[in-house]
Amino acid sequence: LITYWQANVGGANWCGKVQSLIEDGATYAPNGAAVSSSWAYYGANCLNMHNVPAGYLGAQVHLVKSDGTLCGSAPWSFNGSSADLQTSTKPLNTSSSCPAHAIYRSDAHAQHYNPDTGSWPTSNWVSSPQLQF
Amino acid sequence: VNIKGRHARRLGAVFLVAGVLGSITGIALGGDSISTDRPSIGGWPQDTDGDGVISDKGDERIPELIKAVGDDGTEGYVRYEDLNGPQPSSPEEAVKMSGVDRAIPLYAGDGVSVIGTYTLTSGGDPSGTADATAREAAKAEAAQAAG
Repeated sequence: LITYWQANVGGANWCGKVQSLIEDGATYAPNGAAVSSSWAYYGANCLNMHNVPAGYLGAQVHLVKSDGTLCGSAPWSFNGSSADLQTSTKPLNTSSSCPAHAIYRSDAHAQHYNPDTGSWPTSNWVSSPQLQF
Repeated sequence: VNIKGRHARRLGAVFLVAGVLGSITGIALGGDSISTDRPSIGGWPQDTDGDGVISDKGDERIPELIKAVGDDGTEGYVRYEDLNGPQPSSPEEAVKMSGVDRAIPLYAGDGVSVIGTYTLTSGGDPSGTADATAREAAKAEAAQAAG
């Protein structure tokens, strides 16, 4: 079962990735690969963010059911260093409305502080392929 | 009688205009104004053009009230503004806000009645790098305190 999920942004082009922790080697959509107890990366789309000053980056992530229902959100994470940023990890919190066998995707976006304007321009939302929890 | 009739019609017209203006003003000054740029209610948008990105434009516009499942499993809606939360005023404030849990109202479909809460919260994944970094920092702090 996939049990945890998070997003990270960083790298030379500030690309965003959504990743999930798979505990037991279960097969997951869409490519059918099986991974045991490790983070699987999805949705490596670039956020079109340039010249981000070190330590000024934020990211937020949502878990979305296939019908568009939000089934979980992690709060904004901000980095205080020049390192790439991972959002807080988030466990899958199952309920009858967000069952473990449902199809989800995880969408993340980022923002960075612009010291010249004092504003926080935001990126598009990076959307993962379907995730089978 | 004709004079009274004309007066009554004028008064009626005045009340009608005042009523319409009042309604418009009331809508314009309403505290919870609905953005005309967004669909008023709906699910989180799909990646309709298949580019792997939700642009928050056109068919991929995020609605004002978004379908969500509350903390106790209740189905309802959260407001776009609540979901985004407050904007930090500086990078320093942003770091203080980082990863802090935040509970927001879960609304019924009318966007007014509060039927629960939706909490933006983190998990405690033992293999997560972010958590591992926090654990290392806590360890170092504890070691320093121990002398």
